[in-house]
Amino acid sequence: MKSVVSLQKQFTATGLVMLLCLAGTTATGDSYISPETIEGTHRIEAEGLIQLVNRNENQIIIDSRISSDRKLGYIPGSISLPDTDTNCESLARLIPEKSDPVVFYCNGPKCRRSDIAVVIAVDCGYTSIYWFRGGIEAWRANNYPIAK
Amino acid sequence: MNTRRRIKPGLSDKISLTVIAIGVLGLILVYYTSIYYRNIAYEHYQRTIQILAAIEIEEIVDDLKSDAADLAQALEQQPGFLQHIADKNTQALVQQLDNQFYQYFVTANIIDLSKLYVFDVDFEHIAASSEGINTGTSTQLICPAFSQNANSRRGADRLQLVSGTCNHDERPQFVLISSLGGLKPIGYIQIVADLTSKLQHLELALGMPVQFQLKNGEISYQSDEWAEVLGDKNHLPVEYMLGTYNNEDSVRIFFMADMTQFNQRVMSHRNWVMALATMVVAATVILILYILQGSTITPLSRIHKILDRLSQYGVTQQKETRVLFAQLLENIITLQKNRKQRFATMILDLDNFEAVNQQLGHDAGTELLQHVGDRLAATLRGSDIVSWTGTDSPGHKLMPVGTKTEYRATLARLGGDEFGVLLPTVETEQQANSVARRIINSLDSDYKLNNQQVTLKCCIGISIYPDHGQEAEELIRNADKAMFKARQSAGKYCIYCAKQL
Repeated sequence: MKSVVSLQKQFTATGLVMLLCLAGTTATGDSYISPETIEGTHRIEAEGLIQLVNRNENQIIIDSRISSDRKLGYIPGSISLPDTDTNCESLARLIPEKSDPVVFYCNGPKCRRSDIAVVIAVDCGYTSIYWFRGGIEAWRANNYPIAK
Repeated sequence: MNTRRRIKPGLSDKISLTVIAIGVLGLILVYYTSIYYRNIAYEHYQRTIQILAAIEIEEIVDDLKSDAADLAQALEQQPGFLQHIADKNTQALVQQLDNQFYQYFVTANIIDLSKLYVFDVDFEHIAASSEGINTGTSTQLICPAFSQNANSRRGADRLQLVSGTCNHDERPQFVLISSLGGLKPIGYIQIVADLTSKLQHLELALGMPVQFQLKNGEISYQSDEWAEVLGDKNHLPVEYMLGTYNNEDSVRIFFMADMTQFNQRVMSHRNWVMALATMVVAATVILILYILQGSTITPLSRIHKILDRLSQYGVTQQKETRVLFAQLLENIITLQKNRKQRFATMILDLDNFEAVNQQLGHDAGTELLQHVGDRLAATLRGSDIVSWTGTDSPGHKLMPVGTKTEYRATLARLGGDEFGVLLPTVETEQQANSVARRIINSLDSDYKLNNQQVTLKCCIGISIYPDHGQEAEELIRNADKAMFKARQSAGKYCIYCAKQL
């Protein structure tokens, strides 16, 4: 009897270890990548951002990153509004009209903050939302000026 | 007697010398091969250092670019700076630009500023620092190609940073052009910085002494230990040419790579190989001498001694000559046995010789023998060199001393009218017959001695080793038998045949 019990214990232990291994692979497998598009927004690249600035007199650019990231360099003229602070009220303070063009960006495609912010902006009813998915990573790669 | 002797290298000496000569050639080959491969390794090392230098310089320039961008930003944030650009207030701008030469980026040795320029949005010159390199007039630009290039861009590209290296007054300069005023630029700044001071970092990065040589040959920088390592055979000079944005040569950078450890390893390896080669050569000499000692060297040296002694005996000492001839034969048997070669022994009977010797005297006998010898030499010329033994005048040889191999065909007086001839190059009965015919033809005609005609009747008996005997005595005996058979029959020569005789 004793041996059967210990055998059972062994099986259970092996099963547990296997489960843990499986869980481990799924948890650490891949980091976050932004979706290609987000409904209700226009996706733009670095050059598109500059065109927007040249086209619109009061183009609003929102930096959705936390302040420590922003300190390392930001797109000149952008306003800091971390995604954690983004809501209809904070957006309303920065964007006068729901139809005003507004750009959101964060560190890059691996950064989730601009995704979250644009979804909030869409929910709040903004109609001219531009999402700069490439973020600061693409901005640097294009050799555009960075403010600090 | 001894004056006749010459110091000649023996066979073992020749073999040893040959092996040693091959060994020395091998050592020379090892020596030069090691030098050749060291040089190849040097070339690879030089290329590696050049690649490392290129990577390091790229990093230095990247750092400088980032620092210069920071400086542009710092200027942009100076109170009133952007307004002065908008107002084209040259005087105020020059003041602000000049201030930078005494502030953080210069005093903290981050950038070695050469010049600062400010342009409006259309790249019209507004201001230049009065500090830095004196260019004569303030509108005179350092490396103008960069601003021309920057101005030729359109659209969003005009916001991009422009940077690179160029030459000014033969000194390398780093240039960065940055837009001012955010994403809707109102002007541009051009930062010019001396690259030489930044390049000194190469010394630390690559861990070797450096020297920078400008295009005009002037040395703009050199490590403290440069003089020490210059000309040191363990330091490998490496040259790297720094190019500008338009592929113009800028600074010639020299490195001195320390190859001491590498050379030590190569040399120690080479010395080991050479020592090994020397040992192999020595071992080969010893081995060859050991192998040849019994089979070749000993019989050959004995043959030489016997020939030497034979030449000292006169026609009267037939007993000794006979013994020596047998010994000679024994040694030639030893030699030919190892070579697995056949050879012929001839007994030459010169009928009447003893009579001439007794009637006309030993001098006449000796003279007759000289004639016989001359004819033999003429007959057996070329490959069959005759060594003459058994004359009255000791040491006389038919051929001059030192001509080719001393023994090829050897003639010795064995007693009475009998002479022994050894023909080591004759291997078949056919060859033996042909040689015998030639000898008889040449010896048969008359001789002139003291105005007298002398005729020698000649007949020859032949035995061939090993067919007609394995031992010296047996070969002589069988050749003797064949000679008697020849004398009895009509023929003048006869080859031993066991059945017939």
